[in-house]
Amino acid sequence: MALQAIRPHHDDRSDDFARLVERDLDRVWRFLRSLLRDPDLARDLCHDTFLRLHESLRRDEIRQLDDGLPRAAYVFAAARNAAASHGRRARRQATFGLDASDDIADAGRTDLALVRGELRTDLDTALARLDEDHRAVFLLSEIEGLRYEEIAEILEIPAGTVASRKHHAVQRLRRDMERMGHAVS
Amino acid sequence: MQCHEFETALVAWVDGELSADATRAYEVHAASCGACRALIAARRHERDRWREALRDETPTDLRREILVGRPSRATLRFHPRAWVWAAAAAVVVVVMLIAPWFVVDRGAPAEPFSRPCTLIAVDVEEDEGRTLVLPGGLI
Repeated sequence: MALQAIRPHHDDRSDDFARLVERDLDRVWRFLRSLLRDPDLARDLCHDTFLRLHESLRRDEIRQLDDGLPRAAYVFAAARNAAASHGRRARRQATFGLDASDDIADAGRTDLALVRGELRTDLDTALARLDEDHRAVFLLSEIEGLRYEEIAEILEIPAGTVASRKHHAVQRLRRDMERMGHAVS
Repeated sequence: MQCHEFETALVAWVDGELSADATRAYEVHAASCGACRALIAARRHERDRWREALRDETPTDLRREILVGRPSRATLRFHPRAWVWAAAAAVVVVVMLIAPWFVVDRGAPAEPFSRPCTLIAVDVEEDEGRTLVLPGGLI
């Protein structure tokens, strides 16, 4: 285990993997961080997502490549699956108390406010009030700029459902943000 | 197109997700309605602000750990199932080690009956091919 812990990725796909990290790590991190609202958990799942992607690359398991790298939809689907399987595991262990309650959002608010702007903090609070399905669509579309078709593929839902969830997520966030004093000028 | 229809499709239009026909109808309406043009500007402004606010820097040590192939903390974390099996194996080993100390030589087995007895009756009945043995009793 100790040897494995410090062994770099040295194989014939290591350059591709480095390019993949360069291309997608920031946005996968952002996605998981805002989806899960837990930086430590997001960090672990982000890490696991990329280790699995590395394995898939090394074994040539990925069918559709874009310039030698997995498509963004594939990468986000891997991240989403990591989050979903964690959720199932945690629910079985009855320790996954993330039900978008105000208490959780408010608990993190004090600390976050020290290091982030008020807008970010309030946006996190409003996002926490969305259910995870709407939050995932919002983050992938609004923040990462993915097409509805790509999001439909990632979340395995119809594109029309993506449009509907995006619309409602924006309406709900706007209403909550206005209540917190962030009206759109 | 009416203003309320325009507003309903505003999010999808700003995302560039409307069909070509719907986009044309949208643009025609926007050209003639100042209030709806203001809605477009507000939606774009809102999106840009939210996008900017949610920009996160990836922790530098996370990037490094991923690139060098270090296992995640989750991988190295306590795994309850593994510990249960390890504890069970340890208990088995300990029991096997100390069991000889508790084995007692009980000598020859005791006689089953302390006094002579006689089998006085056994009734046997057959029912649809099965044999039923009814013991009569011992004295």
